[in-house]
Amino acid sequence: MKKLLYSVLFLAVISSCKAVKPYERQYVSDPEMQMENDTGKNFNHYVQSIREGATPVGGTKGSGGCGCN
Amino acid sequence: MNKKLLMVGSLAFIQLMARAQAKENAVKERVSKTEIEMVYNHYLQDGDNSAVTGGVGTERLTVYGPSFTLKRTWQKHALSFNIGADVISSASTDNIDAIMSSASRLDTRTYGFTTYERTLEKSKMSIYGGIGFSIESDYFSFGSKIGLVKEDTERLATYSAQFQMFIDDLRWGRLDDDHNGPEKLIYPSELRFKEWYDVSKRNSFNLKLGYSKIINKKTILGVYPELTYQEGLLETPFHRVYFSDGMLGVEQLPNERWKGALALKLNSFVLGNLILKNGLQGYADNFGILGFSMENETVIKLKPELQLLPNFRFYTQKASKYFDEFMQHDSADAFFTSDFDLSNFQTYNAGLGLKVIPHNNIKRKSILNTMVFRYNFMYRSNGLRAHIISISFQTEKNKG
Repeated sequence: MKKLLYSVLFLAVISSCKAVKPYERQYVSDPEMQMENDTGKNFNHYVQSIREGATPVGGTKGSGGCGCN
Repeated sequence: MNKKLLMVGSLAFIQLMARAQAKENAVKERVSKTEIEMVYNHYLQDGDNSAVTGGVGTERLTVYGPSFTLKRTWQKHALSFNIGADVISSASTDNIDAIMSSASRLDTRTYGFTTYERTLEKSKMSIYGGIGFSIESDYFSFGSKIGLVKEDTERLATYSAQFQMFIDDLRWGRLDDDHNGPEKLIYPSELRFKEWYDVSKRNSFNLKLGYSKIINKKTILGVYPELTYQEGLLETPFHRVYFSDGMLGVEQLPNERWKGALALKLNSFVLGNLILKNGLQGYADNFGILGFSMENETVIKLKPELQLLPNFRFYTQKASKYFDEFMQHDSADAFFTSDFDLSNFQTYNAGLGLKVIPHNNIKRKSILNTMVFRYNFMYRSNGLRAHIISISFQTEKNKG
């Protein structure tokens, strides 16, 4: 039931999107609004991928390595 | 007469336009861009649950990590190179050997990756592929990736897909002068009387998908599912396990691991000079680990050339079914580990970043394009503490 509720909520958010005209995109085009991480943020993700059982989405560490400490 | 004049005039205009277009194309062909990024990462850690000594003992560790990236773009093509090294000074790996201050105290991981990217203008898509390596005294990893990013300008959405493959060899010996190449797995010194594992290689395959959409003129939403499959030697050979009956062994884990993760990101521009970057992530794998994280970074634009980046992250994890603490495992079990990275815990991570975009750069007079400094403190509920520092300098040069 919860999953259904979240799915409906997610779809509602997606469907509530407004058409954004090219001249209205100065905010969403800002470099800081983009989804990519800078190198320092990626280094934090790299640490998390070693010190946690989970792998952060978009993390840079894909291989095994030891991460043994 | 008027018709003739009109025709001649039209032809002249078309020719003029064609010449102008040709000139513009020629200029476009010559345009190239070079981006350079120099980074230094510093990592300090301490704790009392080292897996090398069976879940007890020091986890003191320092990593010095310089790296360098060069990216060259020519119109539709881009080529990038990334090289770096992590010099690791570890008190816990020193305990692999019985004698302290051994060579294992200091190790270096060297890595490199090159990526080629091609933009397909008609289909508003870019495709890329890359190969790389990572080498340390006790492992070698060959990595490769392919991917694409497609923009849908009508729906204001971006789709991305990436496939990665890593082939790792965990044998030691390739960087030692007295040995000709990879020879053997490194077990704790007192456990080297037999081979504990049948395999010494590990293969990892990652599929990363992405979908982001402009929700309104100040908000972007992103959804990022990831699936990973690993096979082979998934243990770390020198992780000790002390059993409840006093026996000693090395950790044993299944030879296959599936990981699934889903992240949601929401970036919003508020109050004219603040950007809220929020993220939620869920994770599950067949080792029994469940993870959930929430994070925020707020970009505060103090001036066009100065930004503050306060951030925090909370992470909670349910332990692997193969984990137990020092002297708690039953030696009759098939799988066991005392690696606290796979235990129950919560992590709190908070930090501050400073981003400087030199004012002169806006006038294209500065060599430095962007400088970012970040400091984060991480605390794990089982006592592990870490300081994470990163500083990067970026420069960009355009040629027309």
